[in-house]
Amino acid sequence: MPLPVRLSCGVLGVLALAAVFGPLLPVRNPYAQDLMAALRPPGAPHWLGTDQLGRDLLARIVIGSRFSLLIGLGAVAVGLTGGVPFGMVAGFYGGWVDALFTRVIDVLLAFPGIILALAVVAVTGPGIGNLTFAVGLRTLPVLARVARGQTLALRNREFVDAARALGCRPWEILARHILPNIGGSLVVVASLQTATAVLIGATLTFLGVGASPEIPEWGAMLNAARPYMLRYPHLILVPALTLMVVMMAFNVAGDYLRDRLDPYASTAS
Amino acid sequence: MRTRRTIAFPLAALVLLLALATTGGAAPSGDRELTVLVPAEFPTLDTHETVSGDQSTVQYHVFSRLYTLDERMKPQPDLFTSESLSKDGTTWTYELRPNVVFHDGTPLNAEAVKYSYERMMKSKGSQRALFALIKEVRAESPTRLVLVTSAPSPSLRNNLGHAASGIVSPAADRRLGDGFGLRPVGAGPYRLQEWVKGSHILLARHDRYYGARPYFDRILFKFVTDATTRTLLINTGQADVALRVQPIDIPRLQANRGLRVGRISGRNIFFQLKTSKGPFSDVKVRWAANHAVDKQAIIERVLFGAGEPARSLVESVDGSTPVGFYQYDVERAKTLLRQAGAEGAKVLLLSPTTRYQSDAEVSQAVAGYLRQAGFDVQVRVLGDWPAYVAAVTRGEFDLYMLGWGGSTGDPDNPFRRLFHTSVAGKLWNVGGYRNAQIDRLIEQGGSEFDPSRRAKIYADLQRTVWREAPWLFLYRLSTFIVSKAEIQGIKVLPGTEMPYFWLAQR
Repeated sequence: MPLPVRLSCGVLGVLALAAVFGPLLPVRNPYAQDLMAALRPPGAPHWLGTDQLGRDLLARIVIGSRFSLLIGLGAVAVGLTGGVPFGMVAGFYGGWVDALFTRVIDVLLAFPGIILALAVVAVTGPGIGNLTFAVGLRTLPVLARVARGQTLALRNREFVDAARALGCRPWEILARHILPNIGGSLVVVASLQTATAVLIGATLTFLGVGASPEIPEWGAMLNAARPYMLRYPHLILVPALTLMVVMMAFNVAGDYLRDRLDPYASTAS
Repeated sequence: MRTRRTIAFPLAALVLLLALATTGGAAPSGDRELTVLVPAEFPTLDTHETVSGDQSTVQYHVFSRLYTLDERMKPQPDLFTSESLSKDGTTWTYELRPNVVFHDGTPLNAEAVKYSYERMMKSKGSQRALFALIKEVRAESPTRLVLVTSAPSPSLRNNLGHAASGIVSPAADRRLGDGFGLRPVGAGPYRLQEWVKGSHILLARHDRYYGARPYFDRILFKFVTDATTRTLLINTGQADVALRVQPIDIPRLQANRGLRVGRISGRNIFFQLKTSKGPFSDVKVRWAANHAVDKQAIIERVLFGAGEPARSLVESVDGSTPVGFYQYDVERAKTLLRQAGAEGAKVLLLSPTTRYQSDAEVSQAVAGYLRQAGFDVQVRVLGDWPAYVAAVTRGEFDLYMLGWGGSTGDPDNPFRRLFHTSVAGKLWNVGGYRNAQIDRLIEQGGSEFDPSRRAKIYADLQRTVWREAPWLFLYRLSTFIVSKAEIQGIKVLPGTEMPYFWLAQR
């Protein structure tokens, strides 16, 4: 495994640990305010400094990883559960079913991702759950498209014909025979989509459509830091650099997975 | 630094020389433009739909009024040459200035004033309250105007000097209909030349203006929503005036010799508490909240010094007097909560964002203090102001943040709209405060012409309200207007934190 990939896996491992065990780690309370200690630069006892209300930035980054990861993975889960069956049905049946389903996917894809998510949050209201759903709606058509394409390529292969000849029902063929064979491609796309979803989630909270500003979500932290950036740059640098490193890690790891798992990696990129 | 200075001096001398050579020391007439950075755009310039200070600033230039407020919020005669009031205090007679014309060339006479006032009285705008007491408007001759009020109304002059009380051109209004708000026609010192949505408003001097000829030929109001961008633009000389510069940037701008920083003590910021039901219906819980919050720390650390702890309700109005201070005392707050049996009371705190300086940050800080005293606080921040007002109107709060400056300078308007029982449960007494004694004081003050008696009535009112604490009192906010040092004569109305420029020059 090349070094960048190892580093990326390390970053993702730390992220996962922070997200799952954050509250158990020896960090301060990310919600505790201390106005008299506001806007401290990095150094002991606040290793990454404090924000405008004197909250510990390290603690907010660590606990915030939970929200970022939740939005990223949750959105991809929404995309997988909704998009994959949709795409597989379209690819498997072909004909007018395919034409109809593909149009629906195209319509979803036609919206710029952020606009679509903004519209959904405007309808459903703020909150981490709604935000996740909104971002998920954006990953859905991407995954549906991949599932459809892969299913289309497999549906006339011999093993599918064999299954059909043995009397398998369509859903059995889809679930038992086709899904395992397109799984690799889906994992690759899903891992890359997770990175995009984390970023879009942060963008939306940056725009202020996420949840309460007390929640230490990275995008919301970036937004809250804006007025202070000329005099206290650490406020904006800490979440921005964190987000950047995590994005890099997801992308490097995703690329590596594609090289290993995706049979079409050499031709399509 | 030294090398830079040695270059800078000859360079500046050269520029100055060139400027003198080409212009004779000043910009040629016809080419004097003032660029003003404005934080927020607004949907309309219709004077009768005034909702924000930024909008008022532009409206004050486009429309003229019977009175114009001065820097102490005192109404000064504008469109008339004499006024008289009948003995019973209800009939006002004005002799209007002759030969005043609107931007479209039609005459501004008593008929036009009557048309405007009746238009205002029929409008659905929230400022209609300013005209609530006017019963009848009569145009007895082209220059004689008579106003009849249903009760003596000492605040009438101030109300008629408000930005919402402008006189519109009847001809333009009839011609444009609903489009009037986008192409307003008044008789003010400047007329609208261009409005590019999302970008700027350009005003040009009204050459037939009846008052002193303004120095600037044009005023460009540029919408720059991001506060840091406004700071950078004014600091690099790319604008003449920047409104509402954020306090954190003030030291940096004060160090710039080419700039002047103006500080205005403006509106009061507070949380209105839901007194009609829930935890805050108990006065002890309201006191607890007031003692729980360290106002001084919030001013110093969150507002970077841009405020003073409130010692009364709306301190920018005439007759405001210091009536008290709730000392920061967590133990006392806890004791009060315990006595009220309200420990751990669940409260929903509603906050706007980017409406008032650092509003969302202050709300979080207040929530933090309330939690320390034993409240269970949930914070909800709504960015969009209309959505915020809608949530407030629906009563979805236990406490919500509000700012109030006396936009007319007179105490009648704010106190009537914030505390009178007739608006309990509605804007802006959504918290539902009811007190028959306060209602009586509002009625008395509203029709008392004698200044000393009036002052006593309002002092009583402020003391009573302060003691009953229907609000969590916070601070009187300071706002900053930064301008190039060479620009003189910018006037500012503290009640609305609103400047006007027709007396300004370079």
